[in-house]
Amino acid sequence: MGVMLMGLAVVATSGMFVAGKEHMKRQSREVEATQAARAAVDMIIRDLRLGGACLPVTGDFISLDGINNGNTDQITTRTGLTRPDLSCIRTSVPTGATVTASGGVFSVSSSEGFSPGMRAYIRHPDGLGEYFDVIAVPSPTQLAKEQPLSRNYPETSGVYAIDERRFYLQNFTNWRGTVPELVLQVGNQSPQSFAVGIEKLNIQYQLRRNCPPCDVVDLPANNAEWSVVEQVLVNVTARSELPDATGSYLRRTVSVGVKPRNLLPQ
Amino acid sequence: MAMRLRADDRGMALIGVIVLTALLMSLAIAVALQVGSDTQVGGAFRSGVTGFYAAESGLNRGMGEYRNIFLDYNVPSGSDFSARSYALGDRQVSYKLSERPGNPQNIVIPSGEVFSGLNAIQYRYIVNSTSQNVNGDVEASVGAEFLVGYIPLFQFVAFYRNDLEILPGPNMTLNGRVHTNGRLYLNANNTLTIADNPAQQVFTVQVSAGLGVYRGRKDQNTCTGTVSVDMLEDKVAPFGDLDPKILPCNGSSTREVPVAELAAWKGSMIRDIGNIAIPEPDIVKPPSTVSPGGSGDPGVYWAKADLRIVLHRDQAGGLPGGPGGLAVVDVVNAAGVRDDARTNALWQFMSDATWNAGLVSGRGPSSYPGTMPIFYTDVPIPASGCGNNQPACNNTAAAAYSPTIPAPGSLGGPRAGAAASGVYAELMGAALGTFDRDYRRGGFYNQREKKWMLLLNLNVRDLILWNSQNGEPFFATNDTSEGGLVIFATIAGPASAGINNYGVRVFGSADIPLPGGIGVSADPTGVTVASDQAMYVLGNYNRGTAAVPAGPPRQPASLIGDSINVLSQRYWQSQAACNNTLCRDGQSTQSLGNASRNAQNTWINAAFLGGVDTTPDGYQGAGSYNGGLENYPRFHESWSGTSLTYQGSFVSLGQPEHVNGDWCGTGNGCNIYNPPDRLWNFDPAYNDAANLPPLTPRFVYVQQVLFTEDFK
Repeated sequence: MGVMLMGLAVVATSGMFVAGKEHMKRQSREVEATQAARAAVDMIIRDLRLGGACLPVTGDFISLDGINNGNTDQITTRTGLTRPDLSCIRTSVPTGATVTASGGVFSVSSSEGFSPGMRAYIRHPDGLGEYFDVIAVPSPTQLAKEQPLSRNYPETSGVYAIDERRFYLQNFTNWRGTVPELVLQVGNQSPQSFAVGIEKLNIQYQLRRNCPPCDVVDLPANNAEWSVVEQVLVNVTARSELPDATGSYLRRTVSVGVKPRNLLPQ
Repeated sequence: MAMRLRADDRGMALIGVIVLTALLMSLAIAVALQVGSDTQVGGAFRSGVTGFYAAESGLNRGMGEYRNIFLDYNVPSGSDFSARSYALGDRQVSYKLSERPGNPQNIVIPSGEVFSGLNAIQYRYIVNSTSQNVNGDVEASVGAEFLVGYIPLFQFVAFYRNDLEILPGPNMTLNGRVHTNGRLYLNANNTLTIADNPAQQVFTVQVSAGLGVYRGRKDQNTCTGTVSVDMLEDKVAPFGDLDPKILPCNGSSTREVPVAELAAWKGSMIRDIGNIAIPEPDIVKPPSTVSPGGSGDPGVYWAKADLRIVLHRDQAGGLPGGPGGLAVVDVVNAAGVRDDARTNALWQFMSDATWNAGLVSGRGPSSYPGTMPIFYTDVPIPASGCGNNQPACNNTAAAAYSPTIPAPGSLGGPRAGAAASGVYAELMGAALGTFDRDYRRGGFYNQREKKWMLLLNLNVRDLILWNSQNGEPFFATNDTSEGGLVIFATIAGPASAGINNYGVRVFGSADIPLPGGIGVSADPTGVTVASDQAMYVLGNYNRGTAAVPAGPPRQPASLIGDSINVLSQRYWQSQAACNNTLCRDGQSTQSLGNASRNAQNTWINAAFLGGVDTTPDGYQGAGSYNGGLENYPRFHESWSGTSLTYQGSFVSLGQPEHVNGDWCGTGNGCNIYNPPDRLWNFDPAYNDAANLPPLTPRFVYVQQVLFTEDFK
């Protein structure tokens, strides 16, 4: 009788234990997926908030860019670089000076904060601009560029030191098979894995148009739409690293709306 | 055997219970740990997010407080840089302002930013904000850089405090920047073009409004014509010239243009810009001890003027040797007390016949030989049939003024040879030895105000030239403090404070005789003439090298008053042309169809700062229209077929305080004016800070340029 009772107790308790363990595993995967999604969103939010800092607010819109591709969107944020005291690294072509397309060294109002290797953006008063790399800082009022430009830039043209970050998804293969991940690419550097298990990245843009409730588009169609982006809607889905016993992955989705504070003058 | 079995049975149960208890306890502990961990992680995430927004609130609060310091035309100092904190729920938020070394900087705002290309004195500051939880842990730390620009106003082709309407009848082209702190209405009977002009060194365009941008009229709910504004884009030929884009009507009604539509201009059209603090109109007020319309805290133009000339309407007096009268012109100091030395010099200048005629080599002559360089235009008495709404009266008779204006040739009166009355007519030739010592002349009737005006007339060119040729008793000719010479002229009379018939008129100043000039010297001196009363400019002013043959270079110049009135080069005609009776202001009473009111091509190079009427809100009909930017200068002649060539900047800081005559349109019906061909341009020389007129007013512009989050 005792053995029977004990057997029953062991079976029941073992069942509870196994169920509890499975629950723990599941919860662990949930936490893992949730944390991955949170981490990815957190990073994207931070970069979006800073996007456009110290950059031009008129002319061609360069602060944000993206690719709409269903659940595997891409988003690029650009910000101006700052000095240690947070002031923006930017300057202008002084009165009477011109940046010639082919020339190397050119005059600026101040080269403070610029350094060799920095990526820079020069903006014409007509609103269009292009990127170049700073190769040297010959004097407090001069910069040297590496690449030739497509045209000359007159006085008052703006020169901005910039930082560019691109988020997108890709897959890699390991012993478990194909694994999705979120990748961060800074400037022209090699992309780096940022968060493993991110399998969906859906970005939408809320415009200051037809408000309320305001238009929401998958990707601004042109400069005019980019210029009225008021909020970026980020939707990220992360999956657990391992599947459960049935081969299914646990998935968690995080959705946030981010107001880029630096896009337009406040 | 049976007993052993029973004993084993009991032991197994105990072991089983112990094992199961241990398993359950370990499971419970594991679950508890995991739940606790997850709760901690989730809590930290929530705490971080909440903390971030708390810190951000501190940032916003701090920037708002600091912004107000600048908008009040102050600069942070002392305790403004102390850390401040407040409680937000159970969190403590702290924020602090710090100044970036190197403030202030004289800069040209880089292309790509609002107001790019403008000269500015810029200050840069940083605000940092942190939030702490109940344990004193810093949850989030954020920062922002913002800049404060003091930007000279005369870098805009038009800058308005209140609503700005640009609704020209004929085609009109504006080159440069346009801004209003209110709403901007763009419309045209034909075509309005706002564009760059690379050939004139105007490389960019910006049309900005503190509030909304409207396509159509403000006084009527209609939309007509073509409005074209250049985009910040140059993709189509001809290259090197910004691409135009039409701002269309949408139906036939006035409409507010949404931000999303303006975005197509890539920043050359901006609405809801806000954040701009502009000077108050009282920047031109004299002390209240000088004039009933003055201020206890006089404006900057009075305080920093190099010369202050006052017509005291209620003080009897006159030039030594003159007939005396009801008004005295003198020079006062900043406190409003007569400066005897300068007043004596002024009287000497006013009655220097030899200089006026240029009879001595190297001295003079006047730009109007024989005409007193400073005089006042009196108001005829009611007994003569003259008064408000009564231009047709006996204003040409000497007896129409009290006391009677002396006859020509009489003691103290105008020179012999003039027409009988001496009220208006006078030979504009060389002085005849004994100079006119009566600085009164006949009246000017303002058809818009429907009033006889009391005008203090000032030959600025003669004043500067006489000063330099006579030991500089008024000011140093090469004075560059505040950017050059500032002359303040006003009328102190019983009606100074309210709606009145007062005005200051400058004349005879086709050239400004100062050393150097725009395009000649790196930092030309320039002259600003300011008044708290209506300002009139008569004839060519600071025409400079536009003259044929080429004259002296133009100078940085501005004219500042309660409103700005323009009279043409022909306004003071020769005797023959005005029948020996209507010289000076006599023709002002005639109908607009009378040839004596015909204008003549005129050139003016000066920035204007004056008040303009405001069209009331609510489509109240054409009768409520203020005339728009194209009627910023008030005209009083028939300019049909003639041109006003203007180069400068139109600035309005609000409604005029001393004139309230409605703009009622053109033509004989109103009998005020017929419009000129408007050859108006922004003066691109103002793009160089050194060429800005003396004491150019500034507005304050505060802009956030960077928001950051500190990550740990």
